Amino acid sequence: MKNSFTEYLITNGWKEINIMTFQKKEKSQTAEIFFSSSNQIEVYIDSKFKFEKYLLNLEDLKEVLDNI
Amino acid sequence: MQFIATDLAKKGLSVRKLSENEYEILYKGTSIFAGKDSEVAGFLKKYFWKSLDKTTRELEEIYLFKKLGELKEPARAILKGEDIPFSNKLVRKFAEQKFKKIKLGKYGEAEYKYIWTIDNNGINIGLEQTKIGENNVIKHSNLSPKAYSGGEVWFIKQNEIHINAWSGRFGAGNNMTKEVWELSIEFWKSLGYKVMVEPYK
Repeated sequence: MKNSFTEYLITNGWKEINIMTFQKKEKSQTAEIFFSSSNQIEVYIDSKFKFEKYLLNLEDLKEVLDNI
Repeated sequence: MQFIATDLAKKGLSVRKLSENEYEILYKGTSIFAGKDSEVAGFLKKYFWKSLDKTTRELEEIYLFKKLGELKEPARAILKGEDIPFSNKLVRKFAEQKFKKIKLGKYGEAEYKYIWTIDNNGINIGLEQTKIGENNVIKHSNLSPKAYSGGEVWFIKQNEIHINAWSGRFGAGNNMTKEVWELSIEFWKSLGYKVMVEPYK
């Protein structure tokens, strides 16, 4: 079960924790992206919720990654 | 007596003794009811008098809920506004009629995406891009506080749908088993839809 967003994350070094959760360690912190649906993501840093975003295209995802 | 036994067997029901004065009723090899002899007799009597069609529909529903197991808590904490009950949700019980006044769209088109859950009320759906509280979209937890399964659905035609298991809180993200996924598909089919399925796992 993949879509263009999850494939992009995997290609860019994010670890697949389960089908809808991805993690990456950066700057001594662990970022986690949780898909609550195929377009809705929630971003957690060190297990704390930071923000959420409704993704319509890859540019939206890239913007999220720039803000982590 | 033989006539009664034959009728119940034709409906797929059988009885097994558990202990003195305690029995269980099996349907498709699964226990769907257990109790004292008078309670079991009452259950059997109810289905003896019903037509084969009505009995099959009701037993299939009982069987399906038995197989679905326990309602699941959301896999992740609920964020602000995500527990507001979605008042515009549409609900269908097992084997009821199809949903009405639905937006048709192609699989993957975000604006036509509905999200779904299955809980004890049946199948619940809502158009994802609907404002609720301060949120611009609804989440599965706005449809059900607890659920057996969840995902997304597009209504391709009035009688044809395309579903997947993309629910972080109740579907693929909650380690939904393949069996629960297949039972969920059966639930959708019971409404009379031709169901296209996105492969799960």
